[in-house]
Amino acid sequence: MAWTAPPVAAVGDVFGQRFWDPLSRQLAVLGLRPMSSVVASPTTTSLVNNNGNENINFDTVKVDQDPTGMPIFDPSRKLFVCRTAGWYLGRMQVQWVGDAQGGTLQHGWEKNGVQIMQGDRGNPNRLQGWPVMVVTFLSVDDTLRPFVWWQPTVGGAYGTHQTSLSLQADVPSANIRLVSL
Amino acid sequence: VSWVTPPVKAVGDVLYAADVNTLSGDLTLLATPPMASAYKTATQSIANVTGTNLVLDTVLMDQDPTGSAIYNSGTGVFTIRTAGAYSAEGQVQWQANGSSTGTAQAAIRKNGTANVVQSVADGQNIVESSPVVMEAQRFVVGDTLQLRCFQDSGAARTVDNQTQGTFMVLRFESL
Repeated sequence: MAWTAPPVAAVGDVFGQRFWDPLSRQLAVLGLRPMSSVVASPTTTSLVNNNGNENINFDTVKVDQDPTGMPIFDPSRKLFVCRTAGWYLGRMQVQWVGDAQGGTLQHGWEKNGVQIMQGDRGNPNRLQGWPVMVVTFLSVDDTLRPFVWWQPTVGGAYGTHQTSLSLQADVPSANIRLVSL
Repeated sequence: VSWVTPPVKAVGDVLYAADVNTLSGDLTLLATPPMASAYKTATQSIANVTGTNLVLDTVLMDQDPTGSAIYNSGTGVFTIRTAGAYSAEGQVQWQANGSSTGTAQAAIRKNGTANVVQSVADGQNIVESSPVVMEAQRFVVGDTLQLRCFQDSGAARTVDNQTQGTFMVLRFESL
């Protein structure tokens, strides 16, 4: 669904379909603002270290609406698909279950497979969570994927041994919503 | 374009062109509300124990019905052009500096004098993000907001320029 500029009327115009249809469409977009929220529950997501950007196990859709009637969240690819073009705000929060391996924890956003935003912290061997937000313009069919990535340190250097680290259950969440056409 | 209270009509009333244009103008304001977002593509060194305003050098988007720019990429200041309730999100991404002491902080400062929101985390010798979220509050025309940071690691620490890791967005929520 595309935004069309609201009609401008002049004296003498008849208020018919030419005015009614665009007003109606615009109200439909604003009234059913594109938005999708998902959470990962009830299981934790276990990650392999230094394995590139990985999906979060989002398995519960809390809100998913778009004036096109099409779903925004794709449960198989664990990402959001734009159905109505515009400026979107993405917000995600991940709670990491830390361990003693140190290193870097990161979560963020990929747009069409390219990383465009991330938040990093160290791995302090305790629970730690923080949000990562992004603003971007999405065209129809563009994708926005929340991802997680981590890499431990071993003996002061980044390690590559295959050890997993978990995200806390019920905490990971992600949302995108249209904030401007 | 500014907000005009939509007309209320009674049976038998005539619908004038001005009534239609009022609806169109209000819809435009709601669909393309005041909003600006900018991020860093250049690093910035932050001295130890020195609150510092950040200049976000690259404007992602900037729109206001007045036609005036909200964000000034030379000063790092967001200026309210249309009164209303606004929310904001931001993040400061720090580089490692060899120190694991002190704190890493981010804030949004109003009118150059007081922080309206602030986040504080343990300083880590690693790339580290400091996100900050300002929930909706009301502002008047001319109010200013700016992303700000602070660190007390014991040495200078650099704010990073990866992707949009250091950014702020100011968003109109309601009249």
